[in-house]
Amino acid sequence: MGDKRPYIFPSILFIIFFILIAITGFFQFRVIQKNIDALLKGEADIIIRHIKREIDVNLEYLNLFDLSPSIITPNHLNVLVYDEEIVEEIYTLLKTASIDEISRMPFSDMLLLDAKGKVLLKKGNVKLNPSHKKRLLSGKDEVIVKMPNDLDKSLLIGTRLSEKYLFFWLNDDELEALRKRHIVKEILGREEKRLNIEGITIYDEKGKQYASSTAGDMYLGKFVVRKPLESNFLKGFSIEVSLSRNLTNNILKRTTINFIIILVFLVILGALSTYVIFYLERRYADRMKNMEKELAMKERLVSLGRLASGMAHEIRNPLNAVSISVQRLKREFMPEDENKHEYQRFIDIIRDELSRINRIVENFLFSTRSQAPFLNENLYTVVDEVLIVIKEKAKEQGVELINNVDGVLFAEIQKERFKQALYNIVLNGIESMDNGGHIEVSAKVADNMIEIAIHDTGHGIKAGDMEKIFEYYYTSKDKGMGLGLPISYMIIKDHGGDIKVESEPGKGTTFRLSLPAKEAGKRLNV
Amino acid sequence: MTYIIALLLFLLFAPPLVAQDAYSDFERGLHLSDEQKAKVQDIKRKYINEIRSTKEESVKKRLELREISRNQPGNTERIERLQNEISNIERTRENLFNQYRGEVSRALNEEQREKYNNFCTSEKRRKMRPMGLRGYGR
Repeated sequence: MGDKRPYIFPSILFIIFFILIAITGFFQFRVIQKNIDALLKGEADIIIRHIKREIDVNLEYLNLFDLSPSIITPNHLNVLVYDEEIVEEIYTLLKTASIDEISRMPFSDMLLLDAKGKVLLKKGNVKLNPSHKKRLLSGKDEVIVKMPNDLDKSLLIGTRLSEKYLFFWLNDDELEALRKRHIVKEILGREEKRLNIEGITIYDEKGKQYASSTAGDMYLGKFVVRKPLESNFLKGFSIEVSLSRNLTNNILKRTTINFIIILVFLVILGALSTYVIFYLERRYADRMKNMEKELAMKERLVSLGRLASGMAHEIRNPLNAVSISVQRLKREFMPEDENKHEYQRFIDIIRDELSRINRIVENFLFSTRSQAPFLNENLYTVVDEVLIVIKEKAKEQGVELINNVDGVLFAEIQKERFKQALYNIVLNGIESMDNGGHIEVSAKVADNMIEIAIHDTGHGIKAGDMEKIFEYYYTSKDKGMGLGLPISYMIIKDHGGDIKVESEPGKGTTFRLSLPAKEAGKRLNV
Repeated sequence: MTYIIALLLFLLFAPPLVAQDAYSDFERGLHLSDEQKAKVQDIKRKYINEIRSTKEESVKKRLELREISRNQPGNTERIERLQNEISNIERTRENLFNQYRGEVSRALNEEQREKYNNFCTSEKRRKMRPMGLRGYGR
């Protein structure tokens, strides 16, 4: 995993993909927000139209008493009650205000007297009925009220403020304006509660606040729509409706959270996919590399084997002739003089070397004899036969041989060749153990393969030598020929199997021979 | 998308915007004859001043009650008396309206009467003054 270049392209691709999704999500989010705003605007428009109609319908009653025929309905009586409420409101205002505040109030007609009836403040054209003054100053009445009637449409209120007496009049126009404002205020308050909206405010033709359903902030975190009211009774006025954004904000918040979760999920998924894809690709590449290496090695082994086999065949005939001639030399031409012993020694050397050449030739010929039949053999027996042959050599080296193969395991093998392969590996193990130890042979069935493990407790193989051990003539031993393991490798490959080696220097080596378990690797040994 | 549907559903179940018919539409829809108009006008004149006169009395009593309640909260006898007087004024006003309605109904034909009753009912349903205690739409 050292080379990071393969990750750059997919990572860039994934980042582009991620950015595209994020941008799409952002625009989608904006579209949702826009749609919600459009919905809120639509709702506000409906509310505005409704309030305009409510205002028009209710303000119409103000002038109906004076029109003909005008049939009295419950709302006519309510209009009458508005005057009572207006009086109560003004009265409360006066009672809580100072004289200075009262003098600044926007009433056109006002009169303030002291306890003796002396004028302290006078505004407008005041026409005070003497009886009203007398009744209030005498303490007979706490309050003087004259409501509008057919003859005099003005409203009079007289009241005592500490030791002073206040009279003020509202003419028809002032009263009408107050009634209108009162009705509008009541409609706004009622509709705000009924429609569950944040607030409604009406502005006059100068843009000054005329009436509002709420005293709070109209704008903070709310959706506000302001439009001309277009009322028949409030010309030039405008209306502002404030809707709660709680629901929409909630929707947007949840949409945002969902989107972020999707993005995080995408990031994790993308990173994971990139890793998996390139891990698999790397594994595939490694496998291909190994396979190519194995193929090349096998081809080399096969061609070398064929060459050696041909050569061995060609060598064997003259070798036989040389061997027979040497035997004859020893038997029939032995000198009688003092050179006899030396002659004998040379003849023995020749015979030994001939035997050695013959063994090499036999090995090659045997290893390439792949036409031998495959038979179903008991693996325990096969292993046992090999170990018996090599037992003496092992004993010399102080090595214990252990056959741990299950007695019920069978494999289709070319018995003698397979034994040769096994022999070479076990021998290799014995020769790697100078100070004794043990070699254990075991077998198991896994994934339709029979795996035979030959584990020794020898020196182990150096990491650098691992790739070379199956090459012809490679040996780390003084007397080795470098033929045993390549021959074993070729035999196992001819069986459709494979050899894997695990080794740790100083701890030992394990050769794992795998053979295909044709029908059933395990069978009862009857 | 789900949330937009939820919002639409919310709007669907939000309080309906029931608009009241305009009085002028109602009156125009009655198609009163000249004779009926004159009769209705007479009845109105007869009652309107009586109804208006209750207004002054009612306001006076209310302001007096407010003052007494603030300055003499222990004077329960007078407070109760004022409350009863205010209730009586309201009842009188209600009775005057009912009498008026009866007389007007007699001046109308069957169809007009039905329209009048329906309009009064719609006004009551709309509750022009839902928060007030003295609303005549109750």
